Amino acid sequence: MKSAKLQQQIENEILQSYQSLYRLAYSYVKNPDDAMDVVQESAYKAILHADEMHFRETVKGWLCRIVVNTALDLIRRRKRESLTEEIPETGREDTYENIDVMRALDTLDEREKTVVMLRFFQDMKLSEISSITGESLSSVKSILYRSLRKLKVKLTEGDT
Amino acid sequence: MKSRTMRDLRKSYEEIPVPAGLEERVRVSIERAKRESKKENQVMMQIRRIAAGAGATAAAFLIGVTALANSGASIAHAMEQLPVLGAITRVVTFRTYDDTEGGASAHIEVPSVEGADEVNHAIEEYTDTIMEQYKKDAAEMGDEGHYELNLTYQTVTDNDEVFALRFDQTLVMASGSESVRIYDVDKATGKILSLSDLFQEGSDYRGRLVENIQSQMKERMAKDESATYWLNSEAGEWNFTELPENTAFYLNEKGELVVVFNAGDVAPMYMGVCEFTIPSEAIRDIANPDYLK
Repeated sequence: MKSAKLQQQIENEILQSYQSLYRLAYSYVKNPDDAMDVVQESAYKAILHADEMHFRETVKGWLCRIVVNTALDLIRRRKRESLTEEIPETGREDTYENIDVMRALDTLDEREKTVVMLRFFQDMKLSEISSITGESLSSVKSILYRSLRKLKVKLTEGDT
Repeated sequence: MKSRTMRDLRKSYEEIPVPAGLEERVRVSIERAKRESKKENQVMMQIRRIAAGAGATAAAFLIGVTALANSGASIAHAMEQLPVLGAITRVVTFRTYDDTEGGASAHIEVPSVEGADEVNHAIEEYTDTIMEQYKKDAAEMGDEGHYELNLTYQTVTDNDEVFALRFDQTLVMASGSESVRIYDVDKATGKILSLSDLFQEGSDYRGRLVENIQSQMKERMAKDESATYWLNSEAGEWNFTELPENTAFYLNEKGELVVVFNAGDVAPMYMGVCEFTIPSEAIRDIANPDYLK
Protein backbone atom coordinates (compact mmCIF):
# COMPACT_ATOMS: atom_id res chain seq x y z
CA MET A 1 0.00 0.00 0.00
CA LYS A 2 2.70 2.39 1.08
CA SER A 3 4.87 1.62 -1.89
CA ALA A 4 2.01 2.03 -4.37
CA LYS A 5 1.34 5.50 -3.07
CA LEU A 6 4.99 6.37 -3.14
CA GLN A 7 5.38 5.04 -6.66
CA GLN A 8 2.52 7.26 -7.75
CA GLN A 9 4.23 10.27 -6.21
CA ILE A 10 7.45 9.41 -7.94
CA GLU A 11 5.69 8.94 -11.25
CA ASN A 12 4.04 12.36 -10.94
CA GLU A 13 7.32 14.00 -10.10
CA ILE A 14 9.07 12.33 -13.05
CA LEU A 15 6.41 13.48 -15.49
CA GLN A 16 6.62 16.97 -14.09
CA SER A 17 10.38 17.30 -14.07
CA TYR A 18 11.74 14.97 -16.75
CA GLN A 19 12.98 17.96 -18.74
CA SER A 20 14.99 19.28 -15.86
CA LEU A 21 16.31 15.77 -15.17
CA TYR A 22 17.32 15.56 -18.80
CA ARG A 23 19.36 18.76 -18.54
CA LEU A 24 21.01 17.45 -15.42
CA ALA A 25 21.96 14.23 -17.21
CA TYR A 26 23.04 16.11 -20.31
CA SER A 27 25.48 18.21 -18.32
CA TYR A 28 27.39 15.05 -17.49
CA VAL A 29 27.14 12.92 -20.61
CA LYS A 30 27.03 15.81 -23.07
CA ASN A 31 25.04 14.24 -25.84
CA PRO A 32 21.29 13.84 -26.32
CA ASP A 33 21.22 10.08 -26.88
CA ASP A 34 23.09 9.23 -23.71
CA ALA A 35 21.16 11.82 -21.73
CA MET A 36 17.86 10.29 -22.85
CA ASP A 37 19.13 6.85 -21.87
CA VAL A 38 20.12 8.12 -18.46
CA VAL A 39 16.74 9.72 -17.81
CA GLN A 40 14.89 6.64 -19.01
CA GLU A 41 16.94 4.32 -16.89
CA SER A 42 16.61 6.60 -13.89
CA ALA A 43 12.82 6.75 -14.18
CA TYR A 44 12.78 2.97 -14.22
CA LYS A 45 15.07 2.60 -11.23
CA ALA A 46 13.29 5.28 -9.22
CA ILE A 47 9.97 3.48 -9.40
CA LEU A 48 11.22 -0.07 -9.16
CA HIS A 49 13.34 0.69 -6.11
CA ALA A 50 10.95 3.16 -4.51
CA ASP A 51 11.26 1.34 -1.21
CA GLU A 52 14.96 2.21 -1.03
CA MET A 53 14.19 5.89 -0.85
CA HIS A 54 15.20 7.49 2.45
CA PHE A 55 12.24 8.53 4.47
CA ARG A 56 13.63 12.01 4.93
CA GLU A 57 14.47 12.48 1.28
CA THR A 58 12.25 14.45 -1.07
CA VAL A 59 11.04 12.76 -4.24
CA LYS A 60 12.90 15.31 -6.33
CA GLY A 61 16.06 14.65 -4.34
CA TRP A 62 15.68 10.92 -4.86
CA LEU A 63 15.33 11.43 -8.61
CA CYS A 64 18.33 13.75 -8.82
CA ARG A 65 20.43 11.30 -6.84
CA ILE A 66 19.61 8.51 -9.27
CA VAL A 67 20.18 10.65 -12.36
CA VAL A 68 23.57 11.86 -11.12
CA ASN A 69 24.72 8.36 -10.21
CA THR A 70 23.43 6.83 -13.43
CA ALA A 71 25.14 9.52 -15.49
CA LEU A 72 28.43 9.10 -13.65
CA ASP A 73 28.21 5.32 -14.05
CA LEU A 74 27.74 5.72 -17.77
CA ILE A 75 30.71 8.04 -18.08
CA ARG A 76 32.92 5.63 -16.14
CA ARG A 77 31.74 2.70 -18.19
CA ARG A 78 32.54 4.60 -21.38
CA LYS A 79 35.97 5.46 -20.10
CA ARG A 80 36.73 1.85 -19.24
CA GLU A 81 35.45 0.64 -22.59
CA SER A 82 37.48 3.13 -24.54
CA LEU A 83 40.57 2.19 -22.54
CA THR A 84 40.24 -1.53 -23.10
CA GLU A 85 39.23 -1.27 -26.73
CA GLU A 86 41.80 1.42 -27.39
CA ILE A 87 39.40 3.50 -29.34
CA PRO A 88 40.48 7.11 -29.36
CA GLU A 89 38.04 9.33 -27.50
CA THR A 90 36.42 11.21 -30.28
CA GLY A 91 33.10 11.92 -31.79
CA ARG A 92 30.56 11.22 -29.13
CA GLU A 93 30.64 14.45 -27.20
CA ASP A 94 30.98 18.16 -27.45
CA THR A 95 28.50 19.02 -30.13
CA TYR A 96 26.48 21.05 -27.69
CA GLU A 97 24.94 24.34 -28.53
CA ASN A 98 24.87 25.78 -25.06
CA ILE A 99 28.51 26.56 -25.02
CA ASP A 100 28.45 29.05 -22.16
CA VAL A 101 27.13 26.88 -19.45
CA MET A 102 28.82 23.71 -20.63
CA ARG A 103 32.18 25.35 -20.86
CA ALA A 104 31.79 26.90 -17.48
CA LEU A 105 30.77 23.60 -15.92
CA ASP A 106 33.68 21.84 -17.57
CA THR A 107 36.10 23.86 -15.50
CA LEU A 108 34.73 22.04 -12.47
CA ASP A 109 35.38 18.48 -11.42
CA GLU A 110 32.50 16.05 -10.98
CA ARG A 111 31.83 16.80 -7.34
CA GLU A 112 31.90 20.53 -7.89
CA LYS A 113 29.69 20.31 -10.92
CA THR A 114 27.10 18.25 -9.07
CA VAL A 115 26.93 20.65 -6.16
CA VAL A 116 26.68 23.73 -8.38
CA MET A 117 23.97 22.28 -10.58
CA LEU A 118 21.86 21.01 -7.72
CA ARG A 119 22.17 24.30 -5.86
CA PHE A 120 21.69 26.82 -8.64
CA PHE A 121 19.85 24.96 -11.39
CA GLN A 122 17.69 22.61 -9.33
CA ASP A 123 17.22 25.01 -6.38
CA MET A 124 18.11 22.44 -3.78
CA LYS A 125 18.90 23.20 -0.18
CA LEU A 126 22.43 22.52 0.99
CA SER A 127 21.17 19.86 3.36
CA GLU A 128 19.42 18.10 0.48
CA ILE A 129 22.55 18.26 -1.63
CA SER A 130 24.47 16.75 1.22
CA SER A 131 22.12 13.78 1.39
CA ILE A 132 22.17 13.34 -2.39
CA THR A 133 25.94 13.42 -2.76
CA GLY A 134 26.78 11.76 0.52
CA GLU A 135 29.12 14.64 1.40
CA SER A 136 28.91 16.31 4.78
CA LEU A 137 27.16 19.65 4.97
CA SER A 138 30.39 21.52 5.61
CA SER A 139 32.13 19.91 2.68
CA VAL A 140 29.16 20.74 0.44
CA LYS A 141 29.58 24.34 1.51
CA SER A 142 33.27 24.43 0.87
CA ILE A 143 32.87 22.73 -2.51
CA LEU A 144 30.25 25.31 -3.39
CA TYR A 145 32.47 28.28 -2.48
CA ARG A 146 35.44 26.80 -4.27
CA SER A 147 33.32 26.22 -7.37
CA LEU A 148 31.95 29.73 -7.33
CA ARG A 149 35.46 31.10 -7.17
CA LYS A 150 36.51 28.95 -10.10
CA LEU A 151 33.46 29.83 -12.15
CA LYS A 152 33.77 33.51 -11.51
CA VAL A 153 37.36 33.61 -12.59
CA LYS A 154 36.67 31.80 -15.78
CA LEU A 155 33.62 33.80 -16.57
CA THR A 156 35.20 37.17 -16.06
CA GLU A 157 38.11 36.10 -18.21
CA GLY A 158 35.71 35.10 -20.96
CA ASP A 159 33.77 38.31 -20.61
CA THR A 160 36.65 40.65 -21.08
CA MET B 1 28.10 40.58 -10.38
CA LYS B 2 28.20 37.04 -9.14
CA SER B 3 24.44 36.65 -9.07
CA ARG B 4 24.04 38.06 -12.55
CA THR B 5 26.57 35.64 -13.80
CA MET B 6 24.85 32.74 -12.17
CA ARG B 7 21.58 33.88 -13.68
CA ASP B 8 23.12 33.92 -17.12
CA LEU B 9 24.48 30.47 -16.60
CA ARG B 10 21.15 29.21 -15.45
CA LYS B 11 19.43 30.78 -18.42
CA SER B 12 21.85 29.09 -20.74
CA TYR B 13 21.34 25.83 -18.85
CA GLU B 14 17.60 26.03 -19.22
CA GLU B 15 17.97 26.55 -22.93
CA ILE B 16 19.49 23.11 -23.35
CA PRO B 17 16.95 21.65 -25.78
CA VAL B 18 15.02 18.58 -24.65
CA PRO B 19 14.34 16.01 -27.41
CA ALA B 20 10.69 15.62 -28.32
CA GLY B 21 10.68 11.86 -27.89
CA LEU B 22 11.80 11.97 -24.28
CA GLU B 23 8.40 12.14 -22.64
CA GLU B 24 7.18 9.07 -24.47
CA ARG B 25 10.31 7.12 -23.54
CA VAL B 26 10.01 8.15 -19.92
CA ARG B 27 6.41 6.99 -19.83
CA VAL B 28 7.39 3.63 -21.26
CA SER B 29 10.05 3.28 -18.56
CA ILE B 30 7.58 4.14 -15.84
CA GLU B 31 5.12 1.56 -17.09
CA ARG B 32 7.81 -1.08 -17.32
CA ALA B 33 8.96 -0.38 -13.78
CA LYS B 34 5.45 -0.50 -12.42
CA ARG B 35 4.78 -3.76 -14.17
CA GLU B 36 7.85 -5.33 -12.76
CA SER B 37 7.65 -4.10 -9.26
CA LYS B 38 5.84 -6.82 -7.48
CA LYS B 39 3.75 -5.07 -5.03
CA GLU B 40 0.55 -5.42 -3.12
CA ASN B 41 -1.75 -3.84 -5.58
CA GLN B 42 -0.47 -5.82 -8.50
CA VAL B 43 -3.90 -7.39 -8.58
CA MET B 44 -5.49 -4.11 -9.48
CA MET B 45 -2.97 -3.37 -12.15
CA GLN B 46 -3.61 -6.72 -13.72
CA ILE B 47 -7.27 -5.91 -13.93
CA ARG B 48 -6.57 -2.61 -15.58
CA ARG B 49 -4.18 -4.11 -18.05
CA ILE B 50 -6.58 -6.79 -19.04
CA ALA B 51 -9.39 -4.27 -19.20
CA ALA B 52 -7.37 -2.17 -21.60
CA GLY B 53 -6.75 -5.13 -23.86
CA ALA B 54 -10.24 -6.57 -23.81
CA GLY B 55 -12.01 -5.51 -26.97
CA ALA B 56 -15.31 -6.71 -28.35
CA THR B 57 -13.61 -9.03 -30.83
CA ALA B 58 -11.64 -10.68 -28.09
CA ALA B 59 -14.86 -11.95 -26.58
CA ALA B 60 -14.66 -14.90 -28.96
CA PHE B 61 -11.69 -16.17 -26.96
CA LEU B 62 -13.55 -16.05 -23.73
CA ILE B 63 -12.19 -18.54 -21.28
CA GLY B 64 -14.15 -19.28 -18.20
CA VAL B 65 -12.11 -19.51 -15.07
CA THR B 66 -13.87 -21.36 -12.37
CA ALA B 67 -13.32 -20.62 -8.77
CA LEU B 68 -10.16 -22.05 -7.28
CA ALA B 69 -10.28 -25.40 -5.64
CA ASN B 70 -11.97 -25.26 -2.27
CA SER B 71 -13.25 -21.77 -2.75
CA GLY B 72 -16.56 -22.59 -4.40
CA ALA B 73 -19.09 -25.04 -3.11
CA SER B 74 -17.33 -25.62 0.16
CA ILE B 75 -17.76 -22.01 1.12
CA ALA B 76 -21.10 -21.45 2.63
CA HIS B 77 -22.54 -18.05 2.03
CA ALA B 78 -24.09 -15.38 4.11
CA MET B 79 -23.83 -15.58 7.86
CA GLU B 80 -21.96 -18.84 8.00
CA GLN B 81 -20.12 -18.99 11.26
CA LEU B 82 -16.79 -20.70 11.72
CA PRO B 83 -15.89 -21.12 15.35
CA VAL B 84 -12.24 -20.70 16.26
CA LEU B 85 -10.29 -20.70 19.48
CA GLY B 86 -8.48 -18.01 21.37
CA ALA B 87 -9.13 -14.31 21.28
CA ILE B 88 -10.66 -14.59 17.86
CA THR B 89 -14.04 -16.18 18.22
CA ARG B 90 -15.42 -16.56 14.74
CA VAL B 91 -15.66 -15.36 11.18
CA VAL B 92 -18.91 -14.22 9.71
CA THR B 93 -19.83 -12.96 6.30
CA PHE B 94 -20.41 -9.38 7.19
CA ARG B 95 -21.98 -8.52 3.89
CA THR B 96 -22.03 -9.68 0.31
CA TYR B 97 -22.02 -7.46 -2.69
CA ASP B 98 -23.78 -8.78 -5.77
CA ASP B 99 -24.21 -6.75 -8.87
CA THR B 100 -25.05 -7.18 -12.51
CA GLU B 101 -24.67 -4.32 -14.88
CA GLY B 102 -24.71 -4.79 -18.64
CA GLY B 103 -22.13 -7.44 -19.39
CA ALA B 104 -20.50 -7.16 -15.99
CA SER B 105 -21.24 -9.00 -12.80
CA ALA B 106 -19.62 -9.24 -9.41
CA HIS B 107 -19.89 -11.37 -6.33
CA ILE B 108 -17.85 -10.09 -3.42
CA GLU B 109 -17.93 -11.53 0.06
CA VAL B 110 -16.81 -9.34 2.89
CA PRO B 111 -16.09 -11.31 6.05
CA SER B 112 -15.62 -9.97 9.51
CA VAL B 113 -13.44 -11.57 12.17
CA GLU B 114 -14.73 -11.07 15.67
CA GLY B 115 -12.17 -9.70 18.04
CA ALA B 116 -9.66 -8.65 15.38
CA ASP B 117 -10.10 -5.01 14.50
CA GLU B 118 -6.80 -4.67 12.70
CA VAL B 119 -7.69 -7.48 10.33
CA ASN B 120 -11.19 -6.20 9.76
CA HIS B 121 -9.86 -2.83 8.86
CA ALA B 122 -7.45 -4.34 6.35
CA ILE B 123 -10.16 -6.53 4.90
CA GLU B 124 -12.49 -3.62 4.46
CA GLU B 125 -9.87 -1.55 2.70
CA TYR B 126 -9.07 -4.43 0.41
CA THR B 127 -12.66 -5.26 -0.53
CA ASP B 128 -13.51 -1.58 -0.97
CA THR B 129 -10.73 -1.12 -3.53
CA ILE B 130 -11.96 -4.13 -5.44
CA MET B 131 -15.55 -2.92 -5.45
CA GLU B 132 -14.55 0.52 -6.61
CA GLN B 133 -12.46 -0.90 -9.40
CA TYR B 134 -15.32 -3.13 -10.44
CA LYS B 135 -17.78 -0.25 -10.58
CA LYS B 136 -15.38 1.80 -12.63
CA ASP B 137 -14.61 -0.99 -15.07
CA ALA B 138 -18.27 -1.93 -15.41
CA ALA B 139 -19.27 1.66 -16.15
CA GLU B 140 -16.51 2.02 -18.73
CA MET B 141 -17.40 -1.21 -20.43
CA GLY B 142 -21.15 -0.67 -20.81
CA ASP B 143 -23.02 -3.50 -22.51
CA GLU B 144 -20.14 -4.74 -24.60
CA GLY B 145 -17.92 -7.54 -23.52
CA HIS B 146 -17.96 -9.78 -20.54
CA TYR B 147 -16.59 -9.15 -17.11
CA GLU B 148 -17.11 -11.34 -14.13
CA LEU B 149 -15.50 -10.80 -10.78
CA ASN B 150 -15.63 -13.16 -7.85
CA LEU B 151 -14.10 -12.63 -4.48
CA THR B 152 -14.53 -15.37 -1.93
CA TYR B 153 -12.79 -16.20 1.30
CA GLN B 154 -11.97 -19.25 3.31
CA THR B 155 -10.15 -20.09 6.50
CA VAL B 156 -6.93 -21.84 5.54
CA THR B 157 -5.15 -22.00 8.86
CA ASP B 158 -6.81 -22.49 12.17
CA ASN B 159 -4.52 -24.00 14.78
CA ASP B 160 -3.83 -23.03 18.35
CA GLU B 161 -1.69 -20.02 17.51
CA VAL B 162 -2.45 -18.87 14.03
CA PHE B 163 -5.52 -18.17 12.05
CA ALA B 164 -5.37 -17.33 8.34
CA LEU B 165 -8.08 -16.05 6.09
CA ARG B 166 -7.59 -16.46 2.39
CA PHE B 167 -9.22 -14.43 -0.36
CA ASP B 168 -9.43 -15.82 -3.86
CA GLN B 169 -10.17 -13.40 -6.57
CA THR B 170 -11.09 -14.63 -10.01
CA LEU B 171 -11.64 -12.30 -12.85
CA VAL B 172 -13.03 -13.42 -16.17
CA MET B 173 -12.65 -11.12 -19.11
CA ALA B 174 -11.07 -11.72 -22.48
CA SER B 175 -9.00 -14.16 -20.46
CA GLY B 176 -9.03 -15.05 -16.83
CA SER B 177 -6.74 -14.10 -14.02
CA GLU B 178 -6.48 -15.27 -10.47
CA SER B 179 -4.95 -13.74 -7.45
CA VAL B 180 -4.79 -14.51 -3.81
CA ARG B 181 -4.51 -12.51 -0.67
CA ILE B 182 -4.19 -14.06 2.75
CA TYR B 183 -4.47 -12.43 6.14
CA ASP B 184 -2.61 -14.40 8.81
CA VAL B 185 -3.50 -13.54 12.33
CA ASP B 186 -1.94 -14.29 15.70
CA LYS B 187 -4.86 -15.65 17.63
CA ALA B 188 -3.62 -14.51 20.97
CA THR B 189 -3.13 -10.90 20.01
CA GLY B 190 -5.26 -10.40 16.90
CA LYS B 191 -2.23 -8.93 15.10
CA ILE B 192 -1.67 -9.56 11.42
CA LEU B 193 1.41 -11.71 10.93
CA SER B 194 3.98 -11.16 8.26
CA LEU B 195 6.26 -13.83 6.90
CA SER B 196 9.15 -12.49 8.93
CA ASP B 197 7.25 -13.15 12.16
CA LEU B 198 7.45 -16.87 11.49
CA PHE B 199 11.23 -16.81 11.61
CA GLN B 200 13.91 -15.92 14.08
CA GLU B 201 15.01 -12.35 13.96
CA GLY B 202 17.99 -11.73 11.74
CA SER B 203 17.76 -15.05 9.93
CA ASP B 204 17.97 -15.11 6.16
CA TYR B 205 14.60 -16.77 5.80
CA ARG B 206 13.95 -15.14 2.46
CA GLY B 207 17.10 -16.59 0.95
CA ARG B 208 16.25 -20.01 2.39
CA LEU B 209 12.71 -19.93 1.03
CA VAL B 210 13.83 -18.79 -2.40
CA GLU B 211 16.35 -21.63 -2.55
CA ASN B 212 13.77 -24.21 -1.57
CA ILE B 213 11.14 -22.88 -3.97
CA GLN B 214 13.65 -22.75 -6.82
CA SER B 215 14.52 -26.40 -6.34
CA GLN B 216 10.82 -27.30 -6.18
CA MET B 217 10.30 -25.43 -9.44
CA LYS B 218 13.11 -27.41 -11.04
CA GLU B 219 11.61 -30.68 -9.85
CA ARG B 220 8.16 -29.83 -11.10
CA MET B 221 9.44 -28.77 -14.49
CA ALA B 222 11.47 -31.97 -14.82
CA LYS B 223 8.43 -34.07 -13.96
CA ASP B 224 5.85 -32.23 -16.00
CA GLU B 225 6.63 -30.84 -19.43
CA SER B 226 3.72 -28.45 -19.41
CA ALA B 227 4.87 -26.79 -16.19
CA THR B 228 6.86 -23.61 -16.61
CA TYR B 229 8.25 -21.33 -13.97
CA TRP B 230 10.41 -18.31 -14.44
CA LEU B 231 13.66 -19.75 -13.33
CA ASN B 232 16.12 -19.72 -16.19
CA SER B 233 14.02 -18.05 -18.80
CA GLU B 234 15.57 -15.76 -21.35
CA ALA B 235 13.53 -12.88 -20.07
CA GLY B 236 15.98 -12.72 -17.21
CA GLU B 237 14.36 -9.87 -15.38
CA TRP B 238 11.29 -12.00 -14.71
CA ASN B 239 13.24 -14.82 -13.13
CA PHE B 240 12.38 -15.76 -9.59
CA THR B 241 15.34 -14.74 -7.50
CA GLU B 242 13.77 -13.02 -4.55
CA LEU B 243 10.65 -13.22 -2.49
CA PRO B 244 8.32 -10.27 -2.98
CA GLU B 245 7.70 -8.36 0.24
CA ASN B 246 4.04 -9.23 0.57
CA THR B 247 4.04 -12.83 -0.51
CA ALA B 248 0.92 -14.64 0.69
CA PHE B 249 1.29 -17.65 2.99
CA TYR B 250 -0.59 -19.89 5.36
CA LEU B 251 0.05 -22.98 7.45
CA ASN B 252 -1.44 -26.26 6.32
CA GLU B 253 -3.01 -28.83 8.62
CA LYS B 254 0.40 -30.37 9.27
CA GLY B 255 1.68 -27.01 10.41
CA GLU B 256 3.89 -26.62 7.33
CA LEU B 257 4.39 -23.27 5.70
CA VAL B 258 2.68 -22.86 2.33
CA VAL B 259 3.80 -19.96 0.15
CA VAL B 260 1.32 -18.71 -2.45
CA PHE B 261 2.01 -16.60 -5.55
CA ASN B 262 -0.48 -14.79 -7.74
CA ALA B 263 -0.95 -15.85 -11.32
CA GLY B 264 1.84 -14.24 -13.30
CA ASP B 265 4.19 -13.66 -10.36
CA VAL B 266 6.57 -16.58 -10.68
CA ALA B 267 5.26 -18.31 -13.78
CA PRO B 268 3.36 -17.51 -16.97
CA MET B 269 -0.27 -16.53 -16.37
CA TYR B 270 -1.60 -19.86 -17.59
CA MET B 271 -0.02 -21.57 -14.60
CA GLY B 272 -2.49 -19.77 -12.38
CA VAL B 273 -1.93 -19.34 -8.66
CA CYS B 274 1.21 -21.26 -7.61
CA GLU B 275 1.63 -22.81 -4.18
CA PHE B 276 4.74 -24.27 -2.62
CA THR B 277 4.77 -26.25 0.59
CA ILE B 278 8.03 -25.76 2.43
CA PRO B 279 9.13 -28.93 4.26
CA SER B 280 9.58 -28.23 7.96
CA GLU B 281 13.11 -29.68 8.03
CA ALA B 282 14.26 -27.13 5.45
CA ILE B 283 13.60 -24.25 7.82
CA ARG B 284 13.54 -25.81 11.26
CA ASP B 285 16.75 -24.17 12.47
CA ILE B 286 15.56 -20.64 11.68
CA ALA B 287 11.86 -21.03 12.46
CA ASN B 288 10.18 -19.10 15.23
CA PRO B 289 8.84 -21.87 17.47
CA ASP B 290 5.86 -19.72 18.47
CA TYR B 291 4.29 -20.30 15.09
CA LEU B 292 6.18 -22.96 13.18
CA LYS B 293 6.53 -26.40 14.70
